[in-house]
Amino acid sequence: MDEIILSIIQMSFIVLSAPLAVGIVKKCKAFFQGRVGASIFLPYHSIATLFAKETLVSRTASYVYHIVPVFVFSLTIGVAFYVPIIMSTSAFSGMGSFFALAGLFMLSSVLLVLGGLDTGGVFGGMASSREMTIASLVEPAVLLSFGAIVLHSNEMSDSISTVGVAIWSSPSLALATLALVFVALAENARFPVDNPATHLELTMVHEGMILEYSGRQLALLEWASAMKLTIFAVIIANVVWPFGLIFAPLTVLNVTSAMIIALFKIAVVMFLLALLESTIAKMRFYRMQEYLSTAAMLGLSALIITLL
Amino acid sequence: MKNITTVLEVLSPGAHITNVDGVLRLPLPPLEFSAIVIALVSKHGLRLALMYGTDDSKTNQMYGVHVVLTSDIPEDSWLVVSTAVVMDNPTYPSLTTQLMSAYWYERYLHDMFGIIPEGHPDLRRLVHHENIPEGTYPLRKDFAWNAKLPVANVPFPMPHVAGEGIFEIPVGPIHAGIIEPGHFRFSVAGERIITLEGKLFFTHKGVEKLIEGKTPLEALPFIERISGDMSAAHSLAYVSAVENALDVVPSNSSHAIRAFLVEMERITMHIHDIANIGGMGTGFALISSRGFAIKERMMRLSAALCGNRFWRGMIIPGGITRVFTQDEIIHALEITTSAVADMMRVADIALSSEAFRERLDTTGTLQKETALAYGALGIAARGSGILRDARANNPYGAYKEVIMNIPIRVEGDIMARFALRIDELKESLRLIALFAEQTRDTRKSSSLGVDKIRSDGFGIGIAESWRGEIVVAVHITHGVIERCVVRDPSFINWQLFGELAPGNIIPDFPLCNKSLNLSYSGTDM
Repeated sequence: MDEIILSIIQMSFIVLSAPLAVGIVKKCKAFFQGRVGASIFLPYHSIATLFAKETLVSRTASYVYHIVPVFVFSLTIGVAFYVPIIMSTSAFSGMGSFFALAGLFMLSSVLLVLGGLDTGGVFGGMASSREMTIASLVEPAVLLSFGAIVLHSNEMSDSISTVGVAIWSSPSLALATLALVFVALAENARFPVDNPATHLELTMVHEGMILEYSGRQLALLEWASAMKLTIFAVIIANVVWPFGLIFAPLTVLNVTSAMIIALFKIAVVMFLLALLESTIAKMRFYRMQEYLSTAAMLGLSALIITLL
Repeated sequence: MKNITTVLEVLSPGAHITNVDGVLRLPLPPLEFSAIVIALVSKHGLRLALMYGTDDSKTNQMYGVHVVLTSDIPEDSWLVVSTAVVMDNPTYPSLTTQLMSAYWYERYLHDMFGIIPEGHPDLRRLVHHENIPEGTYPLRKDFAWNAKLPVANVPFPMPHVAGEGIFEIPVGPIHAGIIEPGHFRFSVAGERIITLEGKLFFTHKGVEKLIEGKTPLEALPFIERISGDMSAAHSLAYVSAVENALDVVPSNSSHAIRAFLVEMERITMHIHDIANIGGMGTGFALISSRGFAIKERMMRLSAALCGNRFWRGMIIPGGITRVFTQDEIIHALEITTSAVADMMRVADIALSSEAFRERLDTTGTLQKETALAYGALGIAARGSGILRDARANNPYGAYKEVIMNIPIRVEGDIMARFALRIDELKESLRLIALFAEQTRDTRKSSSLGVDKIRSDGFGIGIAESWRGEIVVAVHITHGVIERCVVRDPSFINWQLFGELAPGNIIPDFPLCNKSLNLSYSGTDM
């Protein structure tokens, strides 16, 4: 029972802290660019504003267009529910293998692609085509790097748990973590793969797919992508620094301290992300396969070393 | 290289060439006109610098077609070859059949005057959009500037590429950023661009029509606003044309201040472009945020010197509106030197990034042959190995007094154009120091005196803006402008897009676009 409560606590934590993560990365980027930047709480306000706004839908949109935001949001909530992020194990870890985790993220990518294509808009189609190219290259790297981490933590199961895994304990994990960082940047449409702040219509990937959405549908999509970013940030932070996860017994102090530590981890990862995004140029689109095959090779090496 | 006189002797020894104030004029009947212009350009190496029409209904019931040719040799005269076509049947054999550089000029003539260049391969509309009725010729004298046109729907066919997997991407005229309107039609296979056709002319202001009948001074504010980021260069080209037409000679110190202002404008806008290509084009946010902050310092300097942020309002026919004090000049030099030094550091950060260089190298390559055929100007030409800079080829004003080091690159890609801007920053910094010295030159005061001014004349003015060469031709009768043509470099360089983009991928197009940074407003009078 405790474990179910814990899952609910973790899910709520991810849902509520996600906009803050986006706020922090924007604030840090502003700092690196010599600007003051908006409040780190602005994304909460933006999402609230979007929920209050009118939702305009293209006349050519089918039911696919309408279900995409709800599905993408729900899938991300699902991941936040069962994958151990701020807790040590999960009540549902048995059903949540790393294949399922990679699959759920892939499924939400596919749904976004369908949503981008549905209205027949040019930029949606162009972005969807790019997203499929990237997704097909990301997928092997995701599986390989998660695989290496899982093998390390738990020989008997294929579920993700970051307990007992520390990058310091094995060199192979350093490779797996690096692969995971590469993958996380691609999955979350960040530099050097995509530019989350771009409004150059010809270069958009993630922004292109959600271009037609407005109002509460857009709010759900923005929120889901913030949650995805937060989940990846905490997983990576946990591998590098597996500290502050919630163990039994479930006490208020235990939970509170775990949350504070997780927030700290999020802030550190977002700071590093902002640093990266401010100091490099976006990669030429046709170089993407080199970047992502590097990630896949790193993941594969990690897996082989772990198995040896 | 042969100068104009030698060329003309070879071409037609007995032709009726008149020399009016240093401009050679050669009137010809329509059939000979085209053949001779084509020969002058393709056989004798002259460059078609400007082509325009005039409505001479008051004098001889004809329309005039004029081509301004230059040898690009310093101190050589301009050659204006003209023809006249009858108003009932305004036709002449097209130049575009042989000369790519006449392509847009002839479409412009067709739209604005209804003059038909026979044999032109693509006489679709250029300036007019679908909503302008057939038979609207705004630059004819019988067309009132405030005429209300009925809304029409004339088809404007865009080219289509057919085939499996070919995707057509229409972009604009309304864009996601705060930029001028332009419509681009890409045909792509995957991400690779196969063809690109642009449709511009969404910002027609009617400047050419509006300034007819105004005195040169009344027309100046219109000229300064043709393209806001090159106000100083436009006004310099215009006042030179007016001064040539009316035989006014400004003082040496005002020449120096004019050149000083145009170089300041060049520094401001090159800083902008380096930041814009480096930061906004590649997503390297640090470069743009730092660069734009440095550009702001230059714009505030303009506000302090000129009373506005656009280096505007200083250059007027006959001279300048006010003289700078030595303190102001020293202050300006200090600010500019530190701005350029800071921008060099920012550019170094960009160039030391592998990922950044990789985006710019070999992207958006403009072949030298293409650049020559279209008569490319400015950075586009100099980045592709063509030495074309009015300050060196046709020196004017204070540039006659200095030795120019024109930087040039041969690669023709975005990297070449990026690096050229950095080179030119250094050169402009050297020039403003020289011009600052010359502002003290009081050898000759301005000859501007109201009684001395002629009231009729024809003049050509030239200035190298930061975008490239501006040519202005002005006809003045009874003290007011009869016809004034302003040829912004963007009018020529926009034509290069269809040649530069194919082969590149769609996500690199914004970078190609920023590397030329052309003016929509300057193209569309």
